[in-house]
Amino acid sequence: MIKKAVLISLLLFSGWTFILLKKPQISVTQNVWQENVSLAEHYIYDVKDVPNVIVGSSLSARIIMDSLPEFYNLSLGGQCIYDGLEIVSNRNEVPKRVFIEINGLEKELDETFKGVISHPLMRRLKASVPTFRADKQPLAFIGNYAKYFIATAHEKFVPPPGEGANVTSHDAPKESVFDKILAMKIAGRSKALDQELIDDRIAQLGSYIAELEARGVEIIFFETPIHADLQQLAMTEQIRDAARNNFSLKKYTYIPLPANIEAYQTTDGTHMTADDAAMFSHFFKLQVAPYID
Amino acid sequence: MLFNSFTFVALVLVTLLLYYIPKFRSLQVQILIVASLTFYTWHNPYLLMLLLLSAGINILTSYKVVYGPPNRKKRNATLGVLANLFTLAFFKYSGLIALTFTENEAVGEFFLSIPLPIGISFFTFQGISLMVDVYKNSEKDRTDLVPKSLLKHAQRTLFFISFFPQLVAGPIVKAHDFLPQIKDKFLRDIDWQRCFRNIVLGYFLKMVIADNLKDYTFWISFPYFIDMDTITLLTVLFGYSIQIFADFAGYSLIAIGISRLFGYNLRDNFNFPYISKSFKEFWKRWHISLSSFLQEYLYYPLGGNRKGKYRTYINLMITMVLGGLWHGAAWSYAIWGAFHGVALAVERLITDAVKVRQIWILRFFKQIMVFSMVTFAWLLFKLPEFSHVIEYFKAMYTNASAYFNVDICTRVLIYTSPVILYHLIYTMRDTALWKRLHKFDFVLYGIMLFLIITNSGMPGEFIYFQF
Repeated sequence: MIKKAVLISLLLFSGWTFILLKKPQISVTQNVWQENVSLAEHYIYDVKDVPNVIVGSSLSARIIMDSLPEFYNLSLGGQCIYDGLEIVSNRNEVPKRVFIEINGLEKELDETFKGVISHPLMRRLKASVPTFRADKQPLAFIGNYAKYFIATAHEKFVPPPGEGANVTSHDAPKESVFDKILAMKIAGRSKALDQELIDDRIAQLGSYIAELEARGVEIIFFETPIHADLQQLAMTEQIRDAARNNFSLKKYTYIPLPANIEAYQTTDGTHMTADDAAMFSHFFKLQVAPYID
Repeated sequence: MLFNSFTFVALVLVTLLLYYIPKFRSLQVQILIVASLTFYTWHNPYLLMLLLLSAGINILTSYKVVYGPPNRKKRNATLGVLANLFTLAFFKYSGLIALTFTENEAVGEFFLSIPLPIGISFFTFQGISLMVDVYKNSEKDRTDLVPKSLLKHAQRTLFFISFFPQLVAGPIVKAHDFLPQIKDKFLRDIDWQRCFRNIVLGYFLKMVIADNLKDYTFWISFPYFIDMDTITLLTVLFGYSIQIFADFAGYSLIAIGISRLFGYNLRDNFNFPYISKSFKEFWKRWHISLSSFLQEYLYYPLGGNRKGKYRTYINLMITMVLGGLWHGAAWSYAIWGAFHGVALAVERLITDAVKVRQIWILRFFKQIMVFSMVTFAWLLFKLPEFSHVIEYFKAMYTNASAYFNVDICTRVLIYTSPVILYHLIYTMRDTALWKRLHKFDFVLYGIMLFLIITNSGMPGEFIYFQF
């Protein structure tokens, strides 16, 4: 029984690997976390000669990359800059420039994610066998077909199978929900963080930056717009000041916030709406124009 | 050290290799003790002190119960039980008690800062089991459980308390079930097929089902669920019900399968709980080791159902509320326990008063009712703040719509369907059809093995680790 079960699994594995090798372009992710792993894997194993990398959180993940072909956006939803920096610094080939989002500087490296991405045995396997990659899971494809079938029957459009990743809403929620979420964020950001925590994060960031600079990488900082009521709160200012005090404006470039920042709308106080993400992307593109070779 | 890590697999393989070398047969218990302590302290070496302290207390007090002065037997047993309860209370409940009953926030904050050692709810209960078993058993049984040699007793007890497959999330093992199994083990006695089935099914439930579902049940978080439509809210809650089963049953199956590799039989911890037709049946099928422990060491000593109708209901409530609190230091767990206590009491009342013929439609209706109520109660686990539970119910009521989140709902249904199939297969086990299909079950295990390799979710901790 054991031998037969193992044989069946090997046959399925071989068949699925064969399909993936024949159709390398097919890719489906099921949720934010899988998207993050897939983004990281794509950067580690597939991407070559991209001079500019953005590291950040879900805030920067909303930057539209269509008109930034010389950029790779390694901003990870639900995660932070340290996860992105960990990926960049562990790759043999480093980019010319790394753009670091300072909004979520206080967050913590995700050790589980790091373990998934950087396990030595899995790295070797994923480099040569696509079956182990996050965007090649068989049930994800079945889920996509099922989703399309149900959505079509229910008259609600979703992208056809194999073409789209997870659908996330970039529209503003109901006012009552927005108000609740914004109030929570105002309460959360009104108090400065423990200075020891900030010092620890700055030290961590400093360590990544030192390593990348030693390998010839230029570091540029930027910030994404957030709701006006959150801009000048204690925690926001503490983070901004910590970055500027430790990574001086004299040595590092900081992309300024847009002049019309008050005009930016968010879905929850911190994440830009779809329209405003497009507006910010245009602004960002103008700001980084000197860095496009 | 997670069960689904390469480090753990390496630990099991190395331990197995050493364990069955004939030259080391007399050291089998010691090998497992070293492996168990390595497993427990892998990420936090300081935990070793707590585990050794707990084991030490249990070793000395149980030895005193059996071989100490007979007139001190009860005192020593009581001391042992209280020491275990104090350890549990100090590490787990002091924060809750301080915050609830003192006005001094600093005191509450101090107690909240005490870390919760992983597995404490499990190994302290096993210590209590040892105390009670040596106290109440006959003289012959007591001396069988506790050998005359203190060193031998210390080894056996440390092994019993720390045995790594069940150390951090059960099944809770009773002393009288485990200790008699301690003897030389041989490779030829391993039931490889049974171990394979347990381990593959366990890893499938944990890595493919639970670890994928958690990425959707994540949305049962305040305030993100507030504007979700009713169908999606119900679907993710259903998903959470399946996730918690898959996570815990998966872990238990892995623990049982690995224990069997070393020659130790642990009792099944889950027996298809979601087909239960009553809450009484549910608690005979869900977390069997806990419900059996509470029944034997709490419900029966309180009097069980032997002291009249009303005393039975009180005993049920006490047992279930304390059982709820065992899961976590928050009043929401006590409410969850109370809910199950009330359900059991009301069910008993109705069953005693009303006799109805059990036609199939009624049995099916009861299964749906029990499953639904159990599922709604799981919200208290997912949302420890009771006000958020109320908000969830409010959202379900107010957000009725023809539209739903196709993405979330489809994926939840895909990842819950194997568990539904698992329960369905169980209900068909006596049919001629299943007896014919059963010989092809290797196909199912092959598919599960394939999906473990290719379709695992992002690793998540076992939900019951937090208890």
